[in-house]
Order: sequence, then C-alpha cells, then structure tokens
Amino acid sequence: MLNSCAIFLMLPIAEVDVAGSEYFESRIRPALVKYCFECHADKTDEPAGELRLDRSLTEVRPLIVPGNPDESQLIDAIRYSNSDLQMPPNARLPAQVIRDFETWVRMGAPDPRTPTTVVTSPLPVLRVDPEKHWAFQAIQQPDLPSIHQPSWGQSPLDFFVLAKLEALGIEPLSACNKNTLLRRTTFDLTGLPPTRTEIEDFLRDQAPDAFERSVDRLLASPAYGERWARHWLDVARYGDCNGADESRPFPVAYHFRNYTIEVFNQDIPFDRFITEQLAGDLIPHDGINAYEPLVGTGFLVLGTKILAEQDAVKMDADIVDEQIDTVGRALLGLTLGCARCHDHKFDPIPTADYYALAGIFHSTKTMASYGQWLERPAHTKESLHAKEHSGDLITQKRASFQELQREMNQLVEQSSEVITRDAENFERGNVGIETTNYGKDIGIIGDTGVSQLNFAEYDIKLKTAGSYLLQIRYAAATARPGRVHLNQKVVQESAISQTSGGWHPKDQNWFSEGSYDFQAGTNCLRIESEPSMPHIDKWRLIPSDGNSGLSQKLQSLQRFSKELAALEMQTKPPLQVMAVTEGTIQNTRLHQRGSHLRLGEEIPRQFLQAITGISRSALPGDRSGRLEFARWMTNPHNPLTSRVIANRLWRWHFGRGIVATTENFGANGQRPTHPELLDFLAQEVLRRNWSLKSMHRAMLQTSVYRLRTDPQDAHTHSTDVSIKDPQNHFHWRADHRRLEAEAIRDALLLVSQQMEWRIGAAPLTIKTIALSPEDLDQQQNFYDESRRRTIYLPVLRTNVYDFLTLLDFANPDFSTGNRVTTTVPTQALLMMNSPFVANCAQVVATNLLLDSQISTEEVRFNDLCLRLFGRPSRSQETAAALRFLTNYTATLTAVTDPQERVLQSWAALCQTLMASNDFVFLD
Amino acid sequence: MAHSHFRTTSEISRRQLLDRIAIGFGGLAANSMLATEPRAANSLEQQNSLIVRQSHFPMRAKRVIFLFMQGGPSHVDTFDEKPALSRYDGKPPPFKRTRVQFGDRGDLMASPWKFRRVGESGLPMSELFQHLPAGADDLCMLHSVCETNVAHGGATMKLHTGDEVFVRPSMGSWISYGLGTENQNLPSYINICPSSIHGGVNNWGAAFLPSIHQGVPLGTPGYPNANASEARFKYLSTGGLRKQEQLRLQLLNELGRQRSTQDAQLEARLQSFELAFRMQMAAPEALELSQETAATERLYGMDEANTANFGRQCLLARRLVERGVRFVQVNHAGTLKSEGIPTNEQWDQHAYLKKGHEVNAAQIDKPMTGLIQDLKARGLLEDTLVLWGGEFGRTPTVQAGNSMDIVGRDHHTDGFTMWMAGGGVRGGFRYGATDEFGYYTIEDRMTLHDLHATLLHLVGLDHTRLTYQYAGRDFRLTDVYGKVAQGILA
Repeated sequence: MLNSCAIFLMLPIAEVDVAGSEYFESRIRPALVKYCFECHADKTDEPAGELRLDRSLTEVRPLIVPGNPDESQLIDAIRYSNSDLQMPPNARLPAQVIRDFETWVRMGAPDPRTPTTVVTSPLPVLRVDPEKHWAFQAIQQPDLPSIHQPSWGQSPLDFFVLAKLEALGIEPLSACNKNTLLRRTTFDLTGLPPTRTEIEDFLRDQAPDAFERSVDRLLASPAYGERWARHWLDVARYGDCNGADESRPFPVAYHFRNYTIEVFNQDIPFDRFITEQLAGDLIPHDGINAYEPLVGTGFLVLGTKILAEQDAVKMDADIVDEQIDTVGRALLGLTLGCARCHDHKFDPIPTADYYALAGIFHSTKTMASYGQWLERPAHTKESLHAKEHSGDLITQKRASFQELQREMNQLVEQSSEVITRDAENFERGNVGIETTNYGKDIGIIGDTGVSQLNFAEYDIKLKTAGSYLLQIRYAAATARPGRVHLNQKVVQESAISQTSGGWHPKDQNWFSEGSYDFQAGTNCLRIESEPSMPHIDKWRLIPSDGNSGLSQKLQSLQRFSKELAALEMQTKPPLQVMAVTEGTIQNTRLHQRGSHLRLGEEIPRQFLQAITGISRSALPGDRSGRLEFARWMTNPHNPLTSRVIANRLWRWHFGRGIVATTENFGANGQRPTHPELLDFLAQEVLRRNWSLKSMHRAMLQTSVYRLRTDPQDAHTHSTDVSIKDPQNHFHWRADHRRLEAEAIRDALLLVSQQMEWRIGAAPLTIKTIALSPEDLDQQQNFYDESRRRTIYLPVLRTNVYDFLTLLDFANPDFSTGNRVTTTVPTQALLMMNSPFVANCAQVVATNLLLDSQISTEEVRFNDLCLRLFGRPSRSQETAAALRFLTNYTATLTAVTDPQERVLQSWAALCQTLMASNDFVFLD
Repeated sequence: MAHSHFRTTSEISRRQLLDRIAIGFGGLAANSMLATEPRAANSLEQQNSLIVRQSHFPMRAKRVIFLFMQGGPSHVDTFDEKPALSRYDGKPPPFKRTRVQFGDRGDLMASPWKFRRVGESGLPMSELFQHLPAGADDLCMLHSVCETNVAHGGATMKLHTGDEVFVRPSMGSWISYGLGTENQNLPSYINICPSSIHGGVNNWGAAFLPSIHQGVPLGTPGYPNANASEARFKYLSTGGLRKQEQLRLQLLNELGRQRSTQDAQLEARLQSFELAFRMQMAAPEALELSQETAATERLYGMDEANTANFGRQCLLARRLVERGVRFVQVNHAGTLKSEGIPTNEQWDQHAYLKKGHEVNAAQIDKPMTGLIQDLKARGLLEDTLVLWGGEFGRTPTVQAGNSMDIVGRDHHTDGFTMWMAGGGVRGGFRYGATDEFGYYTIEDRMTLHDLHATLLHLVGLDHTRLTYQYAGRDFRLTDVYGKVAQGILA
C-alpha cells in the first residue's frame, strides 16, 4: 500500500496593508460568500475540486498569481475565457465583479484571513482494503465438500454444486436424454446442430465413454475454433470498422479474427494468448504457431476511437482509456476506467494506479499518426518460411532500389527535361483549391466536401511525341483513389491510391503513376476521383524514352522495380495487421479529475496495488512494460486472471457465470454463487497449464452439465423449488437457452445444406462510412446472400447485419462476456418474414419432397424434426403439423399446380418450425 | 439466463392480458391495473416489456417528438438575436476564444437576416421563418444550451445519449424503459428516417437497456437519410395472406403449448409473435397517410416539392404519437447537394450560410409549424412535447472566403439555442441567454445533462431515480450530472 503522502505546505503569513484589507472586505469577501462558498468552503462536505476559498488566498499559486491577473487561474476561470474551467459553473459573474477580482489580484491579492494548511495535489491512497473483498484474496485450495448422493458426483465440480443444493434442500432433476445431450453439446462446442448421422451414431454407441469421445470429436473439429473464437471476439469488442463518429474501415482487422480462431483450434495456452494480445510484438515467433504473436496485439488497436477529436492530447488519452478499460474488463474483471477521474468508488484502485497503467500504454504506439491507427507486417508460418529462404535477397534488392530512387530524384530535381506543374493551375476542373491555410507557398487541390466526381484537367503542349512517366505529389492519411485520363482515355484505373501518413504538408510525397505516350501538340491530362480526393500538390512528367541520362536511369529503375515485384510475388509476403509497437517510454502525470489539462504528479509505470500477492518492482526505463504487465497478468499469484477466464468458460457453457457480472469482479459486481467452485476451477486452469480444451472436458464431464431443463412431471417438483431457487442460480436444472444469433443463422445454413465451408475470409470490401440508402440496400443483399459461417461476416460497427442485431449480437463497442437475450416482436417479424429464413425453409422443403425414400407425410415430418430439433417427432406435434398442411394448402386457391401447392405448404411448415421455440432454444 | 416462473403483473394471466390488448390501441393505457412502478429491481420481465409503468410524479408530457436538425443550425441567425454582431461586423472578437475549436475562425459577422418580434409574446425570430411566427406563443426558447463536443460525432452522440465517447442508451430508450408505452401494437420508440452517420444506431440504441426499448427505425438509416416516402418497418410482412399468417401463428402456439414448461422466456417468445402479428395489422394503418384530408396535407406542406419530405415525416410523427407511441424522432438530416451547396450535413454551413440556411429553413418552416398547429387543434399539444434542435450552434464568427455568398460559420458549442413546445412548458418564453455576441452562456446555463434531466422531468421521471444496473453500476441518462430547468415549467 502507498503511504499517505499528501503534501502539506505551511504558507507564510502575508502582510496585508489596511487599504488592501478594506478592498478585500468590501469587494472580494462578499463576492466569495455570495458566489463561491456554496461549493468551495469548509461547510461543504467535500469542497469541489478540493479547493477551499474560505481562507487566505494570497499565496495559493497558480490559483492566484499576485500582481498578474492573466496568469491567475481564478481569474481565468471567472472570465470564462477557457471552456475547460469556467466558474461559477452556472453563469458568468457580473462584469463588475470580475473587474473587482482583477483589480484585487493586480493589487497583490491582499487577503487578511488566516492562512491555513493547504493540501495541494494529494497522492491518493487506497480507500478500500483489498484484503476485504473476495476477488482480491488469494485463490484457495478448497476441500471437496461431502455430499449425501455420491453417485451424482461424476466429477469434483459436481460435489460443489450438489453440496449447495443439498444445503438448500433442493433435489436436482434427473439427467436429460441422449438426443438432448448431443444437441446441447454440439451447439455448445461448435455452434452447430448435430447431423443425423452423428445423432444415430451417438444413440447406438452404448460404451461408457461414448460421451467423452463425442466431446473429443467436437473439440477436434475446426468448427470448435469458429464457435469459441466468436465468444472471445465479443470480449475483445471486435469490429471491422471504427464505428462512432467516423467509421473508417479496419481493412485488415480480420487477421485478428482468423488468428483467434487458430488460437482456439490449436489450444494455445490461455496465458500465452493473453501475453500475445498485450505484448505479442515483444515476443519472438516460434515458427510453429500459424501466426506471429504480433497479430495478437490487434486486441489493443481494435477499439472504437473518436477520430474527429480535434484535441490531439485528449485523443491519445481517450485511446489509452479505451485500452485500459477493455483490458480491465476483459482480463481482470475490473472496471479500471472508473479510476480515470477519481479513485475508484468501490474497488481498491486509486487514480494513481490508473495512471501507472496509463504510462505503460502511453509508452506504447497505437497510432501511426493523428487519426490513423498503426498497421504492421506480421508473418504467418508460411511467410516466415519463405522469408528464411529468399528474404535476404529481397532485402538487398530493396536497398539498392531505394538507392536508385534517391539518385533519380536528384537528377529529376535538376533536370530541365522534366515538366512540373502545380496542381492548382488547372485549365478546367471542379476541385477545391487551398492556397492560404495549408502552408506557406503551398497550394493544393482536393475535394470540396460535396459528394461529386472531382476532376482537374491540364493542357500540356509538347513539341514532339514521347513517353513520359507521370508522378504526382500528394498527401493522404487514408486512401482516396482515383483515375488518370490522357487525351480522353483512362490510362490508370487506380491512381492517387496510396497513403502517405497524413494530410499535412510534411506528409506530401511523390508517387509514380505509370508511363504513357504523349502526342505532339496539346495533350489533355485529367486527374479525377470520387467522392473525395487526396491533397494533391503538384505533378511532373519525366521523359522515359530517349537517351538522356535521366531517361536511361528511369528505364533501369523501372526494370529493377519489375524484377523486385516478381521476386516478391514468388515469396509469400507477410500480412499487414493492426498491431502496436513500443513508443516513447514515459511515465504519465496524474490527470486531475480526468482532465489532460490539469496535470498532477508524475506516476511511475506500475501494476495494480490491489494485487498484493505479487511484489512490485520498478519497470525498466527502456521499454513500455507491456511484457512485464502480461507476465504480471498471468502470474499464478494474480487471483483475478484465472478466476475471470474460469468464470467466462462456465458462463459460456452454462448460460450464467458463477459471478454473473463476467466483466466486473469488483465490489459492485455480483458475488459468486459458488465461491469454492470458482476457486477450484481457477486452480484447475493453472493445473491444466491454461489449456482451454482441457477445461471444456472438465466442465462437460459432469452431472450438472447433463441435467434436464424441465421436470418429467411438472407437478411433483416445481412449487417447492420455485420458491427456493426460482432463477436456478444453484443449477438444480439446466436453463432453457436461446441460441445466439450466429448459431441460429449457421444452423439454418447447415440444415438447408447451403453452408459454404471455408476457413478464413477475404478482406472486407464494403463501404463503412457515409452510407447512402443504396449502399445499405447493397450491404443487406451482401449479408442476406452470403452462405458463409457467421463469424466470417464483417462486423460493421455502424451497420451490423440486422439478422444479428435483432437477435442480440454483442455490441462491438463494448467488451461483452455475457450477452443478453431479449424477446421482442421485431425478432418474430424477422423469423417469419425475412427472405433469408424463407429461402432456407424453401430449400429444406424441396430436399424433403425430393427424397424418394420417404413414403408418408408422417415420415417426412419425422425427418424434418430430426434435422431441425435433433430428435424424432412427437405424435401430438405430427398431428398439429398435418392439420397445418391441410389448412394451409386450402388457402392456396390461386396456385393451380398441385405440386407447387405441396411445396409451398411444406415451405411454410418448415419456416414455422424454424421460428419455433424447439428450434431456437436448447433444452 | 432464464428469468423463470413468469408471472405477469397483478396476477393477470397471459391470456387475459392478450384479450385486453386485443381491445385495440389505448386499451392498455386506460387499464391502470397494469401500470406498475418502474425499475423494481427484480422485475426483469417488466423491464423487458413495454407495459405502461407509472411515472415518478405526474407527467406534463405523455409523449415526445424530437425534431433533430443535423449539422447544427446557427442560433445567431435564427432565434438568438445579437445586434452587437452588426456593430462588430468584420472586427475581431473582443474576448478570448475557447482553446479547442473545430477550425480556425475569423472575425465576427453580422447575421444576414433581419430579426423581428413575433407572436403576442414578442419572441425575436429571424426572417428565415415565415410560418413559425404563427406558433411563436407555444415556443419555449432554450438559449443557453452548451457543453458538448466540437465535432459532429461526439456532439450528436452526446445530444442523443448524454455521452460523447461511450455507447450509452439513447434518451428515447430511457423514456421507454421508464414509462413503457400506451400502444402495445406498436414499438414504443420510433425513429423516422434516421441518419446512419455520427454514431448511427447508437443514437437511437438501447445499449445495455433491454433491447425492446431501442428505437425502431422507420425507413432504412442512411446518409443522406432516406426520403420519407421510404419510411417503412423492415420485415413487416411477406405479403402472405392473413389467413396463412394466422395458421402459422396458431401452429407456433400449439407446438409451444405442447411443451411441459413454465419457462418465462418461452412464454414471452410466444407473446412476441402475437405482438408481431398485431403489428402487422396496426403498423400499416398507422402509416397510411391516405386517411388524411387534403387540408391536413397542405398544413404540413406536403403539396409543395420543397416541404413534402419533411412534412411527411412530421405528419407520420403526429399519427404515431396519436396512437400512443412514446417517443418519435423526426430527422432533418440530408445534404444540400441538389442545391449545389458544398457542405456536408444538412445544417453544417461552414460555407454558403446564406443560401444553405435559407433552403433548410424553408424545408422545415411550414411542416413544423403545421405539426404544432395540428397537435394543438387535436388537443394533443398539451401533453405532447416537441423538442427542436441540432447537435450544436454556429459561431458568431465568419468562416471561408470573402464574398457574402460564400461565407459560413463554424461549429459552436459554448451557447446555442434549442426550443420546446407543448408538453407543460411555458409558451412564448425565453430561457437562458448568451452574451452580447452569442458566444458564451451568461444566464441559466443548460448543459445537455440539464436538458436531459428537464426532458425526463417533463415526462414525469426523476433523472436521479431512473437507473439501470449494468456491469455492476447504476447508470443514468444524466450520469452524475443534470439539473432540471424549473424556470421553463408552465
């Protein structure tokens, strides 16, 4: 714990002359009493901003700088000259009162009141003792409790559950049947329904280890990674574009998604996964894992950022805040973000701890430039292999190429053969011209902000025909590609398409746009783009045929460039991924009340004081401390990390966490229903070397996982239990659980045999920003027509697929480990009327009707139930379905073809069953 | 996840409840037996439903229509008259400006429009509005709105949700959560032709509140926003026969009832299909404008090309609140591209202030005046609150170019104007003030948190008591801030 190190300053007693004293008494004191004391005086419990104005102010700098009103914060505040600190907050003081204060400060701020001890910038101390809250206490090795029904205890986990139930006097329900168990487990582990063959095999298999082998089979399926990576993507608030105010695309975010799928499928130990996400850039690639660990740090970059924030300092602070908040919720189950402005109100996290962590993230580079996140090359196993074989050669060639480029640039600058033109000197055009605000003597063109085809045309008179290389100098923080026309023909389809690191004059760079034949006489060069355009400064034409030294140089450069490209094509290039790197190593100063404008003490980079089991030593000055942070996070003595993941796994398997608030283990979160079980599981995580697949086996090989949802006979059981544990907190039965949006969609694709199996995905190609109604219609079609597993659909934070959002997809702006399940009529409309569901129903109906082995309607309906519900039909159900078919067919009076009537009726039946509780709920 | 052992409120069975709903819209509202205290900690079923809940204290307004002016209308050119700007026209401001500004700003600029006193109350209003003076005595000007983000995104989110950075429930969702809704055949919160930018769905989202309270877009969100003629609910119907839909619903119910379970979720899901079924009938009727008379259409300007789009939105809003929808948002959120004005959002006149604001004002003037008059004529204005405004105002200083045709104004966040009408606020009244240049607020400062606190107060909710626990913390629309502007209450 920090010592109480509030700094007390004894202030000298100021000598106050009589005139000054009178001025104070007549003008200043009454104003203070009238306007300020309500908040800033002793009588208030907690003086606002810890500032008291009811004692001598003469020497309280920089609140008052005697003699200098302009330097005095108090004057600044009452003048309302600074939008960040305006006092009094409700309304500006009358002008005369402000003038009185100014005069008073100019007089030297005479103040006859007694100076007292003034607390300046107290370093906060822990308000809450970590030893008093369960989550911060060391993980216990609980003894197995004794139970009266030992046969129920398949696993130690069952002992903890049953002991609780027995203590409450609740008898658990019996085990569910095999159909139910297989459907439950298959959806749980792979997000898909079991196939007919899988069901039949499992029912036939009477061996005692039949279930165990099924679990192994499901864990080995690639579909497992696709299912469980999606759980983690909820926690990692994964998105394919920024969202918020400026939803720029994250075109390479999907590598993080694919990497996560791989992490789960390969069962990379979870502590290693955490380390890669926090500090993957700082650990080497072992060449065995599919991805370089760097890819994991995408976790830190994926958050939503306010990209239009005009205050660069605040933007950095907000980005770091988003990282701290996400890391806290995702990995520690702590709401660390609360400590940004004040000591955490409930948990032992002083503001100083927040800024100790903030220093680590401020020492980390997340953004490449203002408003532009960092992207870095990262190797896959394949590209690493390729690099080892031909990498050196490429590196050499690249270096020579750059040298050649430098030489040529010098030649170009000196040459008289080169034709150069300022972009703003166009003959015709509708682009905006900026000559005053961009930089001294720099004029640029760009778009006007209107959504239009922007163009600029230049007439170029040449004495003789010849080939010229076109180079354009421009700046662009994000790609704004366009086209080049020469003499009314498109010569370059993808011009001005590069990024240069920013929009500013310093980001201006020359880019080659290709060589073209120009004619003698007048040529018309046209540069165009839609709807936006980079900041184009100038262009130039370099003669690329002929025999001058320049042309020769250019030709050899172009040859070289082709060779290099060919060589690079042969090798597998590394991926471009969102990732962080080490930045300027710095401690952060405490931001008083969260404001980057009111800085307090410098706080050394460090981890949380609340974790007392790990000793804290100073972080090295030559690196951010992220790797050390990851080691601290995964240290077995950190009582939070293993508990948090154990609890998440329980939540995803059972529908509710042992701690219901999966992101908050603090004092304001829920307390664990089974604290001993949670500790037992956390110990298991460590004992099993953080293997998640091993943890799945442990949780599934239990009696509690196999419980029925409903009593066999409703009358014997419910009344008593519904009073004792109506919410089923203690697992006397299994909960009915609605399938997640992805599982519903994927199941529809699977049962209609339309699923397009392909691991990984092409990058996002659809628009994310300034979406017109046409764009949105297009996106809707793109989503509706896709037949890929849902995890591969882009997550557009500004326009998530409505099928998913309507069915409670996790909001991609938050870390979410506990998705809610809502029940609203718009979901019903979706299931009954969406063209996607209708299409799946149509396909299933067609397949059923084409199956020549089916002889009767009853058999056909039984077949449908097996496909959709993973169990045979029930007689009452069959009767209702057949009645439906008869009645529905009767409504189809307009349809003359009897076969078509049958198909339509069956399709309606299929779609209704797809909307039914039996399909979308797990028993 | 199951909130098991479903018991509808007051021990009324689901079947009885549905029978009551079938009486028709308004049937439930009249039934005080069903009204329950909101926010009872354990009533997850209630939080998840739209059933009418009692307000904390008597409601002045039962419903809200929010006319959102995207881009930021200039307060000094519309409702906040500043003669000093004429005196200082072309001169640098004689005061310090804010540290963070959206762009570089020039000298002070006089308003291109004359102001005059309108209505019996003599409210100042610029000549931009020719029709609105007829409704002036119902308007309550809020001249001191302030403290928002200088960029569109942050400011739009803060206006709608109270937070400029994080995704939080929108004000309409909070009101739906607090009060439920009077018509069980329609969603409680409808957003007509919303904008997809600057927060998009988050501006009408429920965030962590139960999703039943989220705004339901009427028309696909877009930028520019959809034309009002495209306003429709998604997936409302396949165009199948009513009889066929009935058969499907009946089969779902039969299958559902065959299960021996008392699970609340399963029950609720069957209910939701029944509500969806009712919505399929109620929504087309609610949106069917052909029932309106030609005189009404003229009142809203639907007979003129320039005002037809916004007029249609306003008329839809009236039809929806008339049917008991709790919160309706109308969006003036297109672009002026077709007018050849190179600005981004509808009211975002960094340049071409004169032409842009003239076009914008003309598009909304008659429709919104018509809306106020129509509500009044139908006796709805007294308990319907109309709120008008953008995400910020515009600077008293000039931006872009030298010629009067081209110049514009920048984003301004330190004091700008919104207005309310009806719903228990003082008409023909001015609340708060900015300084003589329209730059800083000097009187009755109204932050967005204060605006939200006041809005909740008007619908009978105490902003400090309307809470929702998420991630272990009680959240409020007003966070830890907010002060009700008592002065505007009628």
